[in-house]
Amino acid sequence: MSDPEECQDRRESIVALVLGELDAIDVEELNQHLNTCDVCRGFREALADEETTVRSAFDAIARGVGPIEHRIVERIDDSETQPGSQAVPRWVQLVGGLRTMKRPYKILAATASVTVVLTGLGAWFLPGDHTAGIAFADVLEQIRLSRPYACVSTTQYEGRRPSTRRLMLLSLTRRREIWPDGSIHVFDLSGQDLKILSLYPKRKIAIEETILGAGPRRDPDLLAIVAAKREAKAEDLGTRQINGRLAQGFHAPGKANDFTVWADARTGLPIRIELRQESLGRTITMHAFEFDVDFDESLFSTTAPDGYTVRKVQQDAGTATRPVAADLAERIRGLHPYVCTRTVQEKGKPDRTCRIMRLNLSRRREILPDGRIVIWNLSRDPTQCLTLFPKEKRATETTGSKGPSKDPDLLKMAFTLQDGTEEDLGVRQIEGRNARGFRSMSWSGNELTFWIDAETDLPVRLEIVHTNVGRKIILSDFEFTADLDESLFSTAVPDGYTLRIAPPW
Amino acid sequence: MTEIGPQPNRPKVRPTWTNPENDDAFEALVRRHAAAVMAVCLANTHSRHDAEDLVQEVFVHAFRKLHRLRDRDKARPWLLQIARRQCIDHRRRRRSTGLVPDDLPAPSEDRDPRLDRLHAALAQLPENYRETISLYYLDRRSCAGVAASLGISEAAVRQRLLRGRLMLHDLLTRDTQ
Repeated sequence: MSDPEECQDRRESIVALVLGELDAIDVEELNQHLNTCDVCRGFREALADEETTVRSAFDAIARGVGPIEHRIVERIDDSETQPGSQAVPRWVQLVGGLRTMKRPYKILAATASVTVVLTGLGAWFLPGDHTAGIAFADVLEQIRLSRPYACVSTTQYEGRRPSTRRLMLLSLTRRREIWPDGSIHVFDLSGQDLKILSLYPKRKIAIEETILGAGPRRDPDLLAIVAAKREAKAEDLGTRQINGRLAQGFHAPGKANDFTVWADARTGLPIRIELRQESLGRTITMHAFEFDVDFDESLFSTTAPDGYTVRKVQQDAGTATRPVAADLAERIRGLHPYVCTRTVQEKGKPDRTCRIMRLNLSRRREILPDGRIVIWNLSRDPTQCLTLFPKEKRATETTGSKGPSKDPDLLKMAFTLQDGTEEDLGVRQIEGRNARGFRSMSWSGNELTFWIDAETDLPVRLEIVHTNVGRKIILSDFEFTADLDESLFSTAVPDGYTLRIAPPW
Repeated sequence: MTEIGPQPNRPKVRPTWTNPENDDAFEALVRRHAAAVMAVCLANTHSRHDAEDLVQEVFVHAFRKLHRLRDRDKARPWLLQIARRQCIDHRRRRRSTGLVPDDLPAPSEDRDPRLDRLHAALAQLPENYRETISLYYLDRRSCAGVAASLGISEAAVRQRLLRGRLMLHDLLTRDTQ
């Protein structure tokens, strides 16, 4: 006697058998069972009878498609429209006729008049609520269907400059981003390995990056997150004009994701989506949408085009990190105190190197190759500098500009980076470590290059090029675990030292 | 519209198959894809007659927007996407005009009760299953074909087909009991 649970498990296989979709090996195994099980045999026979009815019903529908095809062709033949063009209403043709007018001001005036008249007429004669049919469910349904698409996405963290990029999504696994600096970044998450192509068209540099074992996975797509809000009770915000289109707004509140969606009042397609993430202190805005775009698939290739100098980077998913500048700035913010080596390179001069201990941005201790120790305290007014000559047991004290002030620290300059504008230099061996590089221009026009430890995300090497004076400053050999005693930064003269007061610098 | 950075190059020459002078091209498109479009409309409406009307609307809309389709190989997914949108519009129009099933005209005498029963059962399936089953039966009963139409794997189609068909059986059986 058959086990009822086992028979229940075989129901899908029996469906496959009746539809002719079961593999030959499985057919044989299932037939053996059917020969011994009345229940399953009965199910197969009932299903087979039903299948005949289902097929004939669908066949009847299919036969009805033929006449529909004829009606479509007739309708198109009768239509005044041409492929690729909308049927043009008479009033649009009239407005279009304005283009034949010679003087631009006449065109403007006439267009404005027509707009005013149409707007006025619309307000008087059209039904008061144009959007009565648009429900949030319609908008969500449209969003759910919306792939492939393109849009402009802006991320705004509190107190930071917004970062904007153009997104082109072929699917949830393949996207292309165009950043404000003109660089292009293509992501392919569909395979076992994550592939990223970064193109820098101005310099014709391409970086082909493979992160082994990072896929397959899907992007956290904002439209997908909105679409998932199917059951949300959205507040109707009414209508407003956005870029010349009548839009209806909905506010779908949420603790983590608070959405405001503005959709075309006629089609339900989104025009603008705002996502407020309170816990992250950021707002993401998507607008300038294009839906159902017939993208050329080559746009999503992760192979560099001809004419580019290609650098290939490959790393393991376990150690790969891809911090953006904003993340980096956050990490660096908490890295004081630290110790590093500073090298200043200038044309025609020997390199100047010293070891720097930095307590904070106002207090530092420098150890020079000749043994001198220079202690800076910028937290006082005026600022102070004590130079110690240990061999000679003497010290020089001098004062500087009005304090308190802070150093132009290279680490601090990381804060001036705009998220999304840095160039990813890929991964290299820097000072014996796997480091990922970023290059960016600071607001003052200096070129900044960061190399970050691929495992710890801590800075390995920072370079700043003052392009206007031809000077390069390099910070390297970092120690971030230094437990620095505050007495090392004291500007009091040590016992046994002879003090000389020097004029202010 | 705000444009950031370079935009992808678009071909300046319209493909010959969308050329208005190529009279047969669109007719061939209709013949090749009408059944699949019908399947999607059938899966997303509550009436076969509505589905037939919508198929016409889909192709008329497609004819007007044909310039947006550059790659003929993508015609089917493109048409099916238009079909889904037309179905949404149709449901919204129906809701906004206050039409409910009771307001619809009485069934004509030539209506096939088998089709009505099948359609009613189909309407109760999850949407993914509805489309898969309609496409399978209306378009040559091929999992590979359905996979290409929906842009998903053949294995996913097979899974949806078997589960959906089983649910359909349960619904049809329940209706007759």
